[in-house]
Amino acid sequence: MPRLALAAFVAALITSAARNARADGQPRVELSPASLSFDAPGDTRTVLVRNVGDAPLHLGAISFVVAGGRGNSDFRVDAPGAPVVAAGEATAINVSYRPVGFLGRPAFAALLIPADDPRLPPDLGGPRHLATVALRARETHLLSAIVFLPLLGALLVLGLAARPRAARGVALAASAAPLALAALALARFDPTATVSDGGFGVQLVAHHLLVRALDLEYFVGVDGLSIAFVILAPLLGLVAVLTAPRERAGLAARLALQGGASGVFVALDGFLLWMFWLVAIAGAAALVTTPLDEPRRGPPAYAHLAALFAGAAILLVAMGAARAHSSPAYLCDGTPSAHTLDLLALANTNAGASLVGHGFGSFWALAAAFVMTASLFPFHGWAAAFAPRAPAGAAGLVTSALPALAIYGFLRLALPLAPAAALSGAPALAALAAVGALFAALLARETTDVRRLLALAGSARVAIVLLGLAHATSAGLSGALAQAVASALAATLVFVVADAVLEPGATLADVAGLAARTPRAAGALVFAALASVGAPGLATFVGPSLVAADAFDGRAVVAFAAVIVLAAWAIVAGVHARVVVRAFVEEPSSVDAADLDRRTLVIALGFGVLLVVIGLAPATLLDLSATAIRDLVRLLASARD
Amino acid sequence: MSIYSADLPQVHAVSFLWALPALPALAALELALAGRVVVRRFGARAAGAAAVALTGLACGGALAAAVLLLPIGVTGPHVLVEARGALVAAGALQIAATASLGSFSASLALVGAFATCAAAVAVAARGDDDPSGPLAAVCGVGAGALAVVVADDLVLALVGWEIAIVSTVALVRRAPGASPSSGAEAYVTSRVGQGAWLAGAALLCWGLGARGGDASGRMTVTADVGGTSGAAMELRTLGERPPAVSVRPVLVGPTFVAREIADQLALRDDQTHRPFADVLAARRLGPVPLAPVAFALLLLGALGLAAAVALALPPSARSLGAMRLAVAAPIVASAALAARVGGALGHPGAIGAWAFGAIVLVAGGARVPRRALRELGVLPARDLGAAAAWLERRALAPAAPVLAFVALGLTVLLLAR
Repeated sequence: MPRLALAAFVAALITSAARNARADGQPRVELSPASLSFDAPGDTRTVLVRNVGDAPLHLGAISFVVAGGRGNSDFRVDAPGAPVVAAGEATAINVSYRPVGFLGRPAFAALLIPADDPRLPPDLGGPRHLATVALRARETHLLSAIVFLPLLGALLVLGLAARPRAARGVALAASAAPLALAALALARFDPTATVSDGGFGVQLVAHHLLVRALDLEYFVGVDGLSIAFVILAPLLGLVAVLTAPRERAGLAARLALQGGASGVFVALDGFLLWMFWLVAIAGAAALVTTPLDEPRRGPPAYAHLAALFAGAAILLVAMGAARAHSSPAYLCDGTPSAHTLDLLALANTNAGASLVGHGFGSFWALAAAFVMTASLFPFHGWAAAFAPRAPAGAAGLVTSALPALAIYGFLRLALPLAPAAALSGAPALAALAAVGALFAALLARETTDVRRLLALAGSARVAIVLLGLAHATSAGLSGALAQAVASALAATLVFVVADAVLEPGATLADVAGLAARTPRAAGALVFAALASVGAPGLATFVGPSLVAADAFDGRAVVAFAAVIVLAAWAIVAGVHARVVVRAFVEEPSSVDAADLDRRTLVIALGFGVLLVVIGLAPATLLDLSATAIRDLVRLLASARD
Repeated sequence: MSIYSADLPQVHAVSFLWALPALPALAALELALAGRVVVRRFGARAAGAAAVALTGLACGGALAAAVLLLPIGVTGPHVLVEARGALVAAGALQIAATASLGSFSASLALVGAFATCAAAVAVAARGDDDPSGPLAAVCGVGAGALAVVVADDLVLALVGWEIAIVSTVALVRRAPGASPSSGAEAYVTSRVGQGAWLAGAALLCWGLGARGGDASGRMTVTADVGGTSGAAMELRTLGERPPAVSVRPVLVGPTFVAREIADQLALRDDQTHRPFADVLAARRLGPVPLAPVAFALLLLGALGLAAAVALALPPSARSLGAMRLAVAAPIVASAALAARVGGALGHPGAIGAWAFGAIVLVAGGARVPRRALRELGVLPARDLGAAAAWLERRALAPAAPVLAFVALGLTVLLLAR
């Protein structure tokens, strides 16, 4: 009985509230549907605007806002409906999808219908109230699949406690399928699309509002800056899973890192990007702290995690600051919002201008976060300490994926969001690159542990990227991007080969005479060493040569930094030469070395072909990003003016 | 031509600028000439103590002068510290010497003075009974290097270079463990170096359109600015002064140099107050077509002298960081000279030449000064590597987590307000 009474009371309350709401002498808008999807050019859809209030509803002139705030709308209003809607009546608005120009581009916009319903949100900077409808055409969830398949796989793998073989199969499928999808994304990607084509040149977009209260949007897409990384992440993930021991936590961590990294590369909302960043860092952290068997056992590298998580925290604070200082904008469904974290809008529209005052802090906070993540000076320690103790296959993934994340962060966040600070901070960035490269090279010279040496060489390679970012010209930025991708490939290759050929904790002495014992392994090691130092003809040569070619043409500080980086590169090359000479010239050591198994051979061959193809035909990689880099350089130039 | 008036440098006449090269030079002279007399009179130990004291005073004085001059030298883009004096004044032969410091060379002078002090300390620390000979040589190398740094004309630069060569040979011959031929080897390498940098300077002056030197050895360039005015410019190719405009109605016709200069002067607005402004001001005079070649030759000269100094290092002192500084001093001095003569330290050709030199240094590929290159290139790399490893172990690795959270705290302070 009491339950019935309570239910009756609640029902009475609701009915009374509804009656009060309707009987307040105001018009009230009800839209159906709240969003429209279009498939092909020429499609027409209808929105019904119903007045459920008890006063006539007056509608204003209908307009569009393109998601992101700029560009031409690909939608047209065919029938604007009646300007006045009597109480209880409805009017229909017909909208059609008529794309102009670049047809492959997905279109996102919102229909803004000014109405005198006071319950509706007020427009930005105006007294009118707006009813809004989200419009989507050619939305695709390809990128979402690339991101979420590995993450789902990670959860599944963790759940398959009793069946380790099945866990491995699931992990393989969850990391390989995204690679196929990434290839599809590459096939559908148009590298010529620019910012001026509308939609900021971003393709394969999915754009939805997730949490209205936080203005959090699910906004993913790919452009020239990210397409190479979108392919890279699944590739690295697949190799890491292929070479992993059959252990569920490790497999799940690899998948999480792959999915998180893919998410970072496609996310175009700042907070979404941060969440994926955290997932990737968590995956890396799980790998870094994995307890190991003999002989690699040592204390888990908790101390080194500080840099990774502090970097993530700094990124969050910087994103918060960017949001707080952003200009008001429309969310993807047209809702006016006081703030936005739409990265493209922040970078390309006036929204970013308000960041200028905070540009210095934002840029250096972001730079600090990325330096920590990329294992650059003075936070180079974690990679060098982790690599010698890493479980098989993990060192390659962590030391290739995290620097790639950091460099992408520079390209997507630090440079576009605080361009003026990036330009004024270029000398300091170049100096950091020089010190980082030299320090890593000198440490590599001192160490005898082969894996530590390779990790430090990776730090020196990434320092070249920093130099390219400091010299923010087309060549510098293209070189930085090319080096980021090539360096990740090289890092993966060297660690795959090192894990297959050398015992854990192997020193330079163990390499002695390798060619006599295991010629195939020695050959792979030599090729990996050449890729690591960036021999001409390999992909890792492209970035440094682009960066170096342009670095002497600008500021004196950048030029001097380039000289130091080149000297560091010479030292690193010398150290690698020592490894090669030992492998070929010296007497065999007593330690046994395994020859390459077939799986490693296939991976090494695949990566070798990739490195050679990019090295001989750099345009295959550079053309993907040329347009986006040009847009970024233009953005930086406008900040300079 | 009032539009160029902003380019006229503000000159501080500070006569103690001479202290930079003169104090070590006097000490070297005194130690070389009076060293044996003092030993005979007062005994080796007392003479050694006196030599150390004298060297300390001279090198310390030079260091103090460099420290005092630094703030004046770096105050603005067009501020010079200048001192003039007569080197030779005998009848018709009048050779003046001018020394000046801008922001770049003021910094180099400080490095050079510090390097001389460090090298002197290293020699004194060997504990020889009578270190006056090696100390005289160290003072001489320092004096020569500092003279090259402050020289505003070719004569003083040559004198400084000569002092450096003589002192280097002396240092090499007196070094413990030195081979009998090492003195000659040092002499030859430094002479080759000198020839190379003279050729480089000549090439640059020719490229700039120099019409020869005046009595003081100062190279002058007379060029028409844009070919439109009756005024001409006098460029002091060996000085750090931005081009001053004279009203001499000299027209030499529109040359490529004149166009270059006019183009470069159009960048004047960019010359705001910043460190190393004199290098930037000098950059406006370049690039000239022969700059890369000239720089390569200048670099060879620098390497030659540096190689000679490296030969002087006794095996026992090779790991001393102070000795590395002694090796660095002539390189620094030569770099200063290259920057001032070429006026284009950041010129692509120049950078290329320096990069080439650095790679040669590291790789140690040349045959003749192989030993010296080994000293210069490989040993510093080993020392630096050991230092880096120590820094990593003791400071960076333990501090990295702390540093990470400090960065986080700073970010919150800076952005989350």
